[in-house]
Amino acid sequence: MNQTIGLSAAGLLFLLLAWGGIAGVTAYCFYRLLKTRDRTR
Amino acid sequence: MSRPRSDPLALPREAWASRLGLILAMAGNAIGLGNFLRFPVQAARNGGGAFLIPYFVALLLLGIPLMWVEWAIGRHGGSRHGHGSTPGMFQALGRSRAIKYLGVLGLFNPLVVLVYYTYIESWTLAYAVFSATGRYSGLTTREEMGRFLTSFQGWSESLHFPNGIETAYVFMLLTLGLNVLIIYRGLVGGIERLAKIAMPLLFVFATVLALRVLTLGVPDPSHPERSVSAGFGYLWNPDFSKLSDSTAWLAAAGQIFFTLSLGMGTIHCYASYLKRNDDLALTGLTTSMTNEFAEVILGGSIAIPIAVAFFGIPETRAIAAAGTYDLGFQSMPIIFQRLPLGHLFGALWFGLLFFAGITSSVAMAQPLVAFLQEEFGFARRRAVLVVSAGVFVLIQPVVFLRPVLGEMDFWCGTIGLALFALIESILFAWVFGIDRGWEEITRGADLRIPRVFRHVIRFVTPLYLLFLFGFWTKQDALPLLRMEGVAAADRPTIMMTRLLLLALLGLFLLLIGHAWRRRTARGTT
Repeated sequence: MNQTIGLSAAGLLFLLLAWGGIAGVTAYCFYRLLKTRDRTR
Repeated sequence: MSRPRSDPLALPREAWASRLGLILAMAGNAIGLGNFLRFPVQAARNGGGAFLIPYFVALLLLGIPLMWVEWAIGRHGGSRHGHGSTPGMFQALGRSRAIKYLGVLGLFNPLVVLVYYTYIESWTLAYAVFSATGRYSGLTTREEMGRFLTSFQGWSESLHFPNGIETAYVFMLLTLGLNVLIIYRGLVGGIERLAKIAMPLLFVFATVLALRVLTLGVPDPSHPERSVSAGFGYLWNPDFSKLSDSTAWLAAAGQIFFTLSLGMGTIHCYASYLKRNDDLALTGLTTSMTNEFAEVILGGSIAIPIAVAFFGIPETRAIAAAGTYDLGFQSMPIIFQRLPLGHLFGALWFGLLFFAGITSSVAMAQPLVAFLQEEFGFARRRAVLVVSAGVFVLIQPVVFLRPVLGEMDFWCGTIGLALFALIESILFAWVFGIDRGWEEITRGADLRIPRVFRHVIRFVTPLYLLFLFGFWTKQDALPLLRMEGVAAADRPTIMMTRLLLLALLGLFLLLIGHAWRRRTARGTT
């Protein structure tokens, strides 16, 4: 791991994939929750 | 809601007021100190960005499937059989009368973890106050902050805490009192209300801190190599050579396991307050992803990047090697002192950890409260007082005897969780049966779960857990059992802790047996 030049292109790619993936799935889950009826009440 | 002693199943159980409340409470249960301290340290140690490969593999094959299993066991045991704790839930999965005893770890693990976790949680509350009031102002090295921490804990003497452990004890009492108050108010009025206040605050605090870190740039121009960019590079630049080492795969599986609060009995308990046809597929996945958001996006953007920006990579590596307490309680306070409005950011950091802690600790108490309510007919408030008294007694050795916390953490917070998860995964897929299990997971689902997870739950997750449990036993448990590397002065305390834990485990087994004899006598099995 290159630890002196900062965030490398590969590091940025991993970061964006991880953040994008998690944020995307989380947003999708909340979107689906909003679209379905809350039967817990 | 209390029930008459004569028939614990006569009245309906408590229920969540809303799905949002349930999601926030479940996410609060999962999001703990580990999201902000343990994850970045594990990632930095085990390959940076490449660590995310075994991490996501473990999330898909171990974390999410086991999370669904725990939700399903909880909803099945609660909605059909009126049990909020795992002895009764496990008994509902099979015919053998011995199965209920396997659920003992769903009482034993959360109680013991609750005991030492409450103490650590009280440190975060204390440090939030210390930050806001400038109590550690002027301490600018890790050594000085280390002495501040140990004198606060009463392990060393210093001018900072001339009364020894008194301050730590007061904060412990305050934290325990807050937990008791919340649980005392019940599922909706206490736990759900706490989650609706604390979780948004937690995300606001974490976002403010992450944005502050992201805008730091190079804090000291004389050290251009110490930058936030270098911090993100340290955490994210992939080192693929680590993937050929089993350590990274085990660390990733362990992190997923701990971060989702699996093997604890808390998810089961919260899920037991669902109705029979309530969705658990989408709701469960949402809570897991909320936890991942807090961990990977927010947790990965605060502690390690800011440590690199102020200390540089070699010292951050030493901090990471020293462990999460060093990072959280020694290094971060020094960093915040170097920032404008450092008192405020320090208070936000420890406030964030406190909210993460308290939403987890109330979850650990709930299975015990439910056990006393449902198996012994206790009114809720009486059950809360009994559990609180138990925690108060058991926390004394944690506060006053230094080796106790680590010993409890290993046996109940690591090995015990893995063993419990292994047992439940086998019970669910092979005793209850994967056909009934799959029907339980997918009934009422607002999300179509890919059928491949049926096979994952049946074969892959139990094998994953077996491997994890076997590895931890071989690598850590056996040497620890033999007390290898333990100072002679600590050995009597460690032996006493083990005897205490065994006695506690025996007591829970006796209570389970007694509860079922009562049920048999009443004809309510």
